[in-house]
Amino acid sequence: MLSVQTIKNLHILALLLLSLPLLGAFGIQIFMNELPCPLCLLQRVGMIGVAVGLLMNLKFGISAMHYGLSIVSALIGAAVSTRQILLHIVPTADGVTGFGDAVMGLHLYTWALVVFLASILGIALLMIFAKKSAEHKEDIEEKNTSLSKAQKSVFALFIVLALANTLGAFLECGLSPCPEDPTEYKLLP
Amino acid sequence: MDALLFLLLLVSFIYIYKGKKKPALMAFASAMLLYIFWFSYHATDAININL
Repeated sequence: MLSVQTIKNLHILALLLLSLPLLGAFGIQIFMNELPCPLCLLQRVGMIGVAVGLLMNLKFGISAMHYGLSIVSALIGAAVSTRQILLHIVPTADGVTGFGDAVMGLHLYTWALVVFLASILGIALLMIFAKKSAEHKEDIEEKNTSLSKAQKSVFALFIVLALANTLGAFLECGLSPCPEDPTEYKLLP
Repeated sequence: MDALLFLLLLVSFIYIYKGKKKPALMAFASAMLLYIFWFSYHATDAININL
């Protein structure tokens, strides 16, 4: 049986793993100047949405509702990435498959689907162990807990990621829909 | 619109950090509803999987 503290530490680990594809995608956008397409931006939204439930568990105590929020976001994100995979599954007339460059053999939207499915699996495992720990009711029902340094750090990481993506999306698209194949920032000279 | 989605999630994170659960849930729910709408807006191209 895992203690509540161990489960919360696993949450921190899950959040750090979840931040890796977001940091990688943002790095590709900034350093390789590969602007994200509309569906790519929606996949990022899904990943950041998964973090909401996990962060709520850290702050308000572990609850099935918080896990549910993450699963909803992961499911919508999985639908978005599946759609993009299907859009590019047939090679074009000149033999090109996929959109953008592949990373370790898979395109970013395929990696996004892997991340969403892994998130759902991870949350299922966390729920199984949280249910066991529910025997320690007083641990589970803690409210508005004070955060440790590591927990504050993951909060800061996701606040920065959400802020950076807000600014990036605003500069790329403004308030109108993003172009299907963006090549430049709409609001930058 | 995409920027608004990220902004709503950012607001949700800030409310969670401040310990205000209800506004955080409202921001998250708004983001998810907008997320589904925006996905349906972009999911209009035909998927050609006929070889």
